[in-house]
Amino acid sequence: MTTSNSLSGATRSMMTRTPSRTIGAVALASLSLAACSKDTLNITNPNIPTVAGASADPQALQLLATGLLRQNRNSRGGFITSTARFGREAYIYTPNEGRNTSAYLIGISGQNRLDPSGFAVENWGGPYGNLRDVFNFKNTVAASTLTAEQKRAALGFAKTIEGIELLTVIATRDTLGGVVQINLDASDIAPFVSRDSVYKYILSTLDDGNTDLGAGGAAFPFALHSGFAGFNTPTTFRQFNRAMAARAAAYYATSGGGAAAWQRALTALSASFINPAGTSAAGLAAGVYLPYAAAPDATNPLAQATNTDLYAHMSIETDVPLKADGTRDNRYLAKIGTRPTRSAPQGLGIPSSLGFNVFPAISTPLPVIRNEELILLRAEALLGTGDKAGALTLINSIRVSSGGLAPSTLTAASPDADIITELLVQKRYSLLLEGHRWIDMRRYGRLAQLPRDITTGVNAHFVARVQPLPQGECLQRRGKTGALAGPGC
Amino acid sequence: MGRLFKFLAAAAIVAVLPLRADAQTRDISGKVTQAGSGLPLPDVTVSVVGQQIGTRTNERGEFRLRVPSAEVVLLARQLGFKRQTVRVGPNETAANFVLEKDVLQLEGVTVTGQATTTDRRVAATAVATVSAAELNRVPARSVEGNLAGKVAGARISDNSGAPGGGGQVQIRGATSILGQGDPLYVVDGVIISNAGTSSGASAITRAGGTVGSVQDQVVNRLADLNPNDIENIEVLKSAAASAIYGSRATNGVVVITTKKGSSGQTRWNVTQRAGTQQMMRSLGHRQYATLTDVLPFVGGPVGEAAARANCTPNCTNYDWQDQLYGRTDPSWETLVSASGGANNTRYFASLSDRQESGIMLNTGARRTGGRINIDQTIGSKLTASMGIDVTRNFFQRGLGNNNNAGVSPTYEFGYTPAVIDLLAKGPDGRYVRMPFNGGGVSTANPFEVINAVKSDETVFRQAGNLRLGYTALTTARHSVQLSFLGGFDRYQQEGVQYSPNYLQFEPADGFLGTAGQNNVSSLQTNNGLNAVWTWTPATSLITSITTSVGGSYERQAQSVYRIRGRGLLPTRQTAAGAADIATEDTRTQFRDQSYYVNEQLLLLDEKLALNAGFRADRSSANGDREKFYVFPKYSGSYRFTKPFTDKIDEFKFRGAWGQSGNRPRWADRDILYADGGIIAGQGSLVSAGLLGNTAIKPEVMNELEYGVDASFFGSRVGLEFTKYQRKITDLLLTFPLPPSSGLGNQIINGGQLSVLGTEAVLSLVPLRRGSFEWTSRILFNRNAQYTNNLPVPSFAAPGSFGSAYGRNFFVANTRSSLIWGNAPFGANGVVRDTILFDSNPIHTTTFNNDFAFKRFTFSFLADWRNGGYVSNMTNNLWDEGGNSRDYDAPAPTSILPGSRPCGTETLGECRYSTFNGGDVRPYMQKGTYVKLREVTVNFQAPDTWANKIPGARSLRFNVSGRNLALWTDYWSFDPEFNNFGNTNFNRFIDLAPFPSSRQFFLSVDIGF
Repeated sequence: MTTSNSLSGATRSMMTRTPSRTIGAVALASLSLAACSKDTLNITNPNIPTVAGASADPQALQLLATGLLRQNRNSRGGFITSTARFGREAYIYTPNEGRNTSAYLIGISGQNRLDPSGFAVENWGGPYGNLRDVFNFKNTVAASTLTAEQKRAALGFAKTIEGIELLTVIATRDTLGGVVQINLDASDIAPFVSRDSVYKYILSTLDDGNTDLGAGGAAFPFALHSGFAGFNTPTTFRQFNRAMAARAAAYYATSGGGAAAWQRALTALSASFINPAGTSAAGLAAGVYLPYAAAPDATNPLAQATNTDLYAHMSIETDVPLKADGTRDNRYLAKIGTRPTRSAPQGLGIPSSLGFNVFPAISTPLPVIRNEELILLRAEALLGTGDKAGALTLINSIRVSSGGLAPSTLTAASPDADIITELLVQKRYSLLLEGHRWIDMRRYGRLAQLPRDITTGVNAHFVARVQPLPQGECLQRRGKTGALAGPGC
Repeated sequence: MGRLFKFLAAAAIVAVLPLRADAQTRDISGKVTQAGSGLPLPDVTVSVVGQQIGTRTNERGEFRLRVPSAEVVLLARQLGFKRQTVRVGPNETAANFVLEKDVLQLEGVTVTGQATTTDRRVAATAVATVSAAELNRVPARSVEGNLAGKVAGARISDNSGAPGGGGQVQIRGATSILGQGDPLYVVDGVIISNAGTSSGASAITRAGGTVGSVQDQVVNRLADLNPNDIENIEVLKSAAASAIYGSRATNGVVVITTKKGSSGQTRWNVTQRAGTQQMMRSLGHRQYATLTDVLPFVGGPVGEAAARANCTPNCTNYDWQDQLYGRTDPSWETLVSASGGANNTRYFASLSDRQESGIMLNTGARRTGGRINIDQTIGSKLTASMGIDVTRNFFQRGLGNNNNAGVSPTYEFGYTPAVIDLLAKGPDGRYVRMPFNGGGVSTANPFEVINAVKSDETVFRQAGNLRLGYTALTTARHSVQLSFLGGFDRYQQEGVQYSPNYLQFEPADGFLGTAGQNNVSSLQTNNGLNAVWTWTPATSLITSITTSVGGSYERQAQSVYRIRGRGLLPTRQTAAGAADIATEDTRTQFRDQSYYVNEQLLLLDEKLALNAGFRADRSSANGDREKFYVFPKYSGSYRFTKPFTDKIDEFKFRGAWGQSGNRPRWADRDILYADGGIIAGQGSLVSAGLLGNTAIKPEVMNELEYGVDASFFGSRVGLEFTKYQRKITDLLLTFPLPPSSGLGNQIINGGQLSVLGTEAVLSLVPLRRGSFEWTSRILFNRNAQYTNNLPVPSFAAPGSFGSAYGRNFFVANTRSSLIWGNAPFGANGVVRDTILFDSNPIHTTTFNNDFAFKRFTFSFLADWRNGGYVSNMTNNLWDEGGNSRDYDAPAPTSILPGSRPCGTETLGECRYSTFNGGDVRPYMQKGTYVKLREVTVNFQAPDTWANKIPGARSLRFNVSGRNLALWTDYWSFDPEFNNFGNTNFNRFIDLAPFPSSRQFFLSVDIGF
């Protein structure tokens, strides 16, 4: 080894410079490595569309609009099977799953209270999932390059869906209230508001939507599915919007909205696709539907062909109105059929031998709202505003055209309660398995009239007034106060 | 990047100056032998101190070296032996070395940075190095197997007994719940993939998923590495040691160095091994004497008819396991290597072919590969090293573990009384149908399944590395080294599944025949630049100061494509045209960049060592891709030589603190849409229920480690003692969002896990007399793992079967290793999901012993695991089916103190009915065992023997065995196994695995 003592001063200074220069060069090289490759860390997910990436795609608006409709359809089957069980229209008699009965008709064992961590908590996550997408859709529209007119059309569409989803929430939670606000930051918990506020929000949202649609030009910037045939331009879609507003206003009227709400319902009905003269089968059926098809599309969850666990409550047979010739109501004959007798497992329910023929095939569409309901809604609203004769005219029209029954013996002099009873019978049979019975009975304070199959013992049935919030909603609100705490589970 | 490399290449060419001063030289030759036995030592590095001249000894321990004519000092060193220097005068031409075994492992160097090492004697963190000799004493399926029991602090377990590999290495406890749990593996500077990706067995077993699941006896890709090519393995355990690998290092780093060539004529080495294997333990089978005994367990009328036909009225009991798992066909391994060097080139090349026969019929594995490592000196300043490794790895592992189709043999045997001959064939030439367990399409004859079902995996793997070193400056006081390292690791995995139409179980899913193809391709590359400046003032205050800086860029990409078809035309083995087709097509990518600065000080006559440094990382996996996350480290050690008394050679105190990270998973940062499905022919987009997090960042581990290394009695006794405390924060967790937000969960950072542990290594030479030497090493390891806090509700560890079967559960301020499950611990015996046992062993202790006598060496390695409970679902299945070997044994009053009374039930009945009543404890079984992992006897033949073989210079014989014995009260095959493969938690689910095997090898090793 040589020693550095022998090196000349010049060499030494060069040597001492060299390492620092070298290190400097390397540091520089490293920095350039960073500078030129920063962008290489930006990888786009090739497997799943990102919100940031896909929203800018020309197809995005169409896909998102279809997404709102697809999500809305997703939760509809569950809405009908849960409310039909609460309203004693239907059973789900799954052979090895007693909870499909007990969770709805008995609740927590011995408590006659629905379990927040059990099965009967639907109609919450589904609607809110879609409300999140409505929120995203509105933002996408706002940021899009659509014309002002197209934007109004798209917003009108989104607000209509928003109203529909919130109506599902409040129709099942009623006095618990609900959340109407979607925050950009999903972990930022939104406050609960009262039932009254929810209805007001729904009605104003639907009204805003109607206004937007009115300024929305001749066509939507996306296509609606075949269930909207006849309602697929902003102008015709408004009739659907008004129909939903009429249902919302009628619900509000019996939930504190009073006469003013009934008036709103009447106004909305006038702008809807209501056709009191349309009393043929096709006329009554006219409306908006959810289409179904074989995979990869979804099949009708209530289809007679596939849902063999779906049974009808025997009281539908017992209570059926009879025609003049003593035979049963046409609606009963068309919609109810016999099935091999079945009961809930473990003695949780009583046997039934009736099933529904409402949706015969897996591709039978499911109504969202149709003329027959609008006629009955108008009857309700007329009754609510004191026009008993007008109400009875419409009720009788349905009795005759839909049920094949003789006109009612009630007159304008009959007590309101009797007319309401008659109206509820017509709604029951006209709108069988369409998600109305339980809500209507609650609206008129008649839940106690619904039959309880088992009245004693640990399996005693009860009629739920509202669906509980899912456990997860309460856990996330634990420790919060005021509106953020919500009504609890 | 490209421009930079061009610049570097140009700079390199300019720098290579033809400075070859032909000074006066002479040759020195000599021999290196081992102290005691006098046996020659091959592969010892002999070098001239202070100069870049060196060579390696050949198979007979001989070397020849050209050195300057002046006096030189020669140094001989090899890992595993103490180094020795010899002064050679100007006129001498011979030098011999006698090396002593380095029992206490004081020699060698340890990795301190991307481009720096330090002498082990001054290392400031606990060091775990395993040499080639120690690693390859007994052949193993995969490198994990070779490492088992040799690294304090690493728990290494096989996932099943299937041939070819599949094992887990967990260093110092679990550090993550959802993130990566495996150590980072680095081979010659290149980060390699240890991914374990299913080859699609679930398409047939329906264990989980449609096309593949973690329950498919998955092989992790470490299995592709040939352990015989490895020179040494160093395991970086503490965060202070692993921080040099930044945000991929919380689970430790396994640094693997492969063999290099040495100057001199080419030396060939040929090893031929032949071996066999047998089932280590059988589960046994309940014996049925008469028809009356078996009738309650036949499972239906078909089974009853079969039982009546075969038990007339006495039953013949068959040993199905012996018939299916009794295969002893030979296993083979051929290894050929050549190593040598001339002028400025050195090379090492190897070819290997390993054929392992599985104990189960129709199973096996074959790994064929080759490696070339070349070291080239270009002029006096530039060195280039490159390596290429090509491997084909083929597996036929059969079906095992969980299944829902009636095809996993150990599963099915549990439900079927062994009173008929399943090997019998009917008039149609097919195996008899399984009549028991319903006798229908939910069961199968395992012999037919294993013979007819194809479940193969083929892997082609190529890896390469290139390292360029440039000595920018060398003076007596300063040296500056620049280096570039680039490498790649690529593999293509092809899994083929085929289950023919005619099999008994095929109609169960409504489709006859199943075919699947599963392709996985992976490419990883990394590049790094390093500059190291060493200043050696050589004063008594400062011995040396080493400063290094550098950076790296790493890429990993994997794509998985699977197709599975059901409903096939007869004999058609492809999914095309099948009645029902499912596919998966997924691609994942990561890109990481890093910079580091590292400072290493050696002070006070090499007594005090201080290290400090940091690494800054950014990654495509982080929410903020531009942000650098900094991982610092500090460590120091001080050596006392001969304190108090001469009996104590040395005492070293060391302490280290460091931080390392675990980067987020693929797509954790992405806010994604989900495919909303189709409505009336239109596709749709909706929000994904799982919300990504644009602020997601790496999990961070802080680790404090301290310990003492001491040696006594002239290096006869050594002790290493280490304690560590690791805290892992910013865990990746799924945070449940309020349902009214419209979303389900969000990925967040939060919470804290911690691990406290102790490691100790006692090395000693109990006896050394004449040529007899007994050396012993005892490794001790224990830790306690905690969940400290969680910002989310308590939740069960992913990868389990739920509370009825036991699993880890995360609750704040609780041990994370506890097994939670159902037991009647509530008021009035109400079943509750509660803490039952601890899955973490009290300790694991390994005993390594080597005995050398003249030409013989004998070694064994025994592993003792004390405690640690296992969820024995295999026993559960067999009890449910009524076929456990001890089913009829008398039951105690109750299976556990306080559990349901057994009454008149037998043992098996009582275990199962206790479980069925909501008490999983009968199947939570203690996994204590002692396993004789390795036994080997070596005989180094005299040269005269070797000379009888033309051209041969050395000859060695070896007899060895792996997993020769297992002492345990555990009921099933092996308490190490896990149905879910490599998992961070829940590593204790035994569910009908491929049984473990005992393996024997006879080897002949010839050097030319």
